[in-house]
Amino acid sequence: RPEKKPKKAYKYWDVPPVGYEHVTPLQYKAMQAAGQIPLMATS
Amino acid sequence: CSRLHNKPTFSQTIVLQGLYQNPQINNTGIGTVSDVEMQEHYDNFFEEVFVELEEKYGSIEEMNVCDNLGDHLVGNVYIKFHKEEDAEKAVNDLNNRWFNGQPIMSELSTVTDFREACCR
Repeated sequence: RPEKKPKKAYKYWDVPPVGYEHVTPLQYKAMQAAGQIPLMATS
Repeated sequence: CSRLHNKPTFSQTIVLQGLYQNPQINNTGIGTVSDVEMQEHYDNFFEEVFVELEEKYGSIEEMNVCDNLGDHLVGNVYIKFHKEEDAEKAVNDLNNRWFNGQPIMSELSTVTDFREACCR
């Protein structure tokens, strides 16, 4: 078990949608704007 | 209100649209999320956002989360930095980051005083 970290591990930051780990958030938003992905994709 | 708000070029305040997801909205069963759980969820969210933003982009003067259950402004998070340049840096960087399985939608906001914030 690693040493106790002073900072809590993040639960939300930098968590990509499942299946879209390979695209950047900017690319993802462009794909949403183009209608290639529904706006509220479930994560 | 037309909801077509002006977008400022410079501001100390940024808005992260729909960042906070109220667990009661996503839960179909009524009463499945207790008030204590809600508060805990909110506190964790607030701390995680505040700590990361302050550490990465600069000192924060104030942060507000719209925790309403209606559709208008829902989940919006407003952060007022002490410095305009920190706000600008944050907006640019956050627009290319993920949060909870979604891309962050970030822009500068005209709100400077949250107690006075109201569409005119």
